[in-house]
Amino acid sequence: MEFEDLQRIWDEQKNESLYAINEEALHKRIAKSRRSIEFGLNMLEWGVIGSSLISLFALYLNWVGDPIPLGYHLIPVMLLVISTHVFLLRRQRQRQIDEYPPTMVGELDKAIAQNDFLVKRIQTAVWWYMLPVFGGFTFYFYYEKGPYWWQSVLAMIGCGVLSYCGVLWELRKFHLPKKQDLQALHKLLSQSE
Amino acid sequence: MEKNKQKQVFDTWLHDHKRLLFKILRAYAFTSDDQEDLFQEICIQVWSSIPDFRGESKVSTWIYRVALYAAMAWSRKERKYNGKTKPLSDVTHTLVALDNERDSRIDWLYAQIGQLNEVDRSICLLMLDGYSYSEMAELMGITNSNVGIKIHRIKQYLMRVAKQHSDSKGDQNGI
Repeated sequence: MEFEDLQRIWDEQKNESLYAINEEALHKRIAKSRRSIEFGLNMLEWGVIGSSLISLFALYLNWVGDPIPLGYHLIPVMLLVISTHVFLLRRQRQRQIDEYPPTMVGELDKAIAQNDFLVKRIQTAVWWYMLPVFGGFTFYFYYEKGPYWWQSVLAMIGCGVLSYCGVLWELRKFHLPKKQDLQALHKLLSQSE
Repeated sequence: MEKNKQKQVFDTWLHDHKRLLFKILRAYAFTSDDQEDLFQEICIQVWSSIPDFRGESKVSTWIYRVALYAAMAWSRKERKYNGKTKPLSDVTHTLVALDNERDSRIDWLYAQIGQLNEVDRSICLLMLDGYSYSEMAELMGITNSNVGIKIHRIKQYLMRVAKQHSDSKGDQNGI
């Protein structure tokens, strides 16, 4: 048998229709789809920006009418810096993502870059977001000495430790293996031997 | 892009190029649940790609690229998590199998293509659908010579398994 015979068999399937598409169900499925890395990144970025701004707003709402020591204003300033920084990084990421060529290698490079962004963002979030925020609030509750100050301090420390462990688990369980997988596929696509 | 416009484009693409998608399904997924899952994954990727389409390539080439990439990524994920994903039996099906008579020779050919690695499967489909070396190289983002080497290897493999199949049936026209 020659290759042309296989080609002839392949060409004969033109008249063979094996499936019908349930378009309504398909559109519902597409509308529900929220599984991509892009969605994870958007959630992370908007989550950090949103929670920073909400915390900032809640703090000032709490301080209305009270004389606030100058040092306390460091926390809202820090929250504002964090949300602005994340917003600028997000814009930088979107600009870079648009530059990949529309090829399969380009798609892979883009997916790897997005995954890298996500990993870096998570690692950065641990040190530049979680530590200052949880640390800041812990010191705030400690020096404020409100009615439940030590419970609040304990809760902040507990939340901080839990969040740190959760973030590390997510990195190791999902994002780093995903990156390795994409790199393996990239290698398979590019290698000629 | 407006959602309505995107839906309109998607419906047209789906209608005009569904056979192309079905070919990819048969090359990458081998059970009805897997085909359903992959079909949804491909459609989501094709849908998402619509705002990026600038008309610089043919629509079929664009869909081929997006769908093949989705299939390769799905295939790796599926292999990794094989048996750990939840069955789709409780989900509304988007793909309904028709009771058409199947050509066993085409089934055999898909089974052989399914033995190739994810990347070679893509190249094999493009080759059988008549894409030139340079079109494939452009679509995949690899060099012409790389495509040539892969095609040579794929052809050798297909000829070998076809010969083995013919020999085992004792009939040169057995497939």
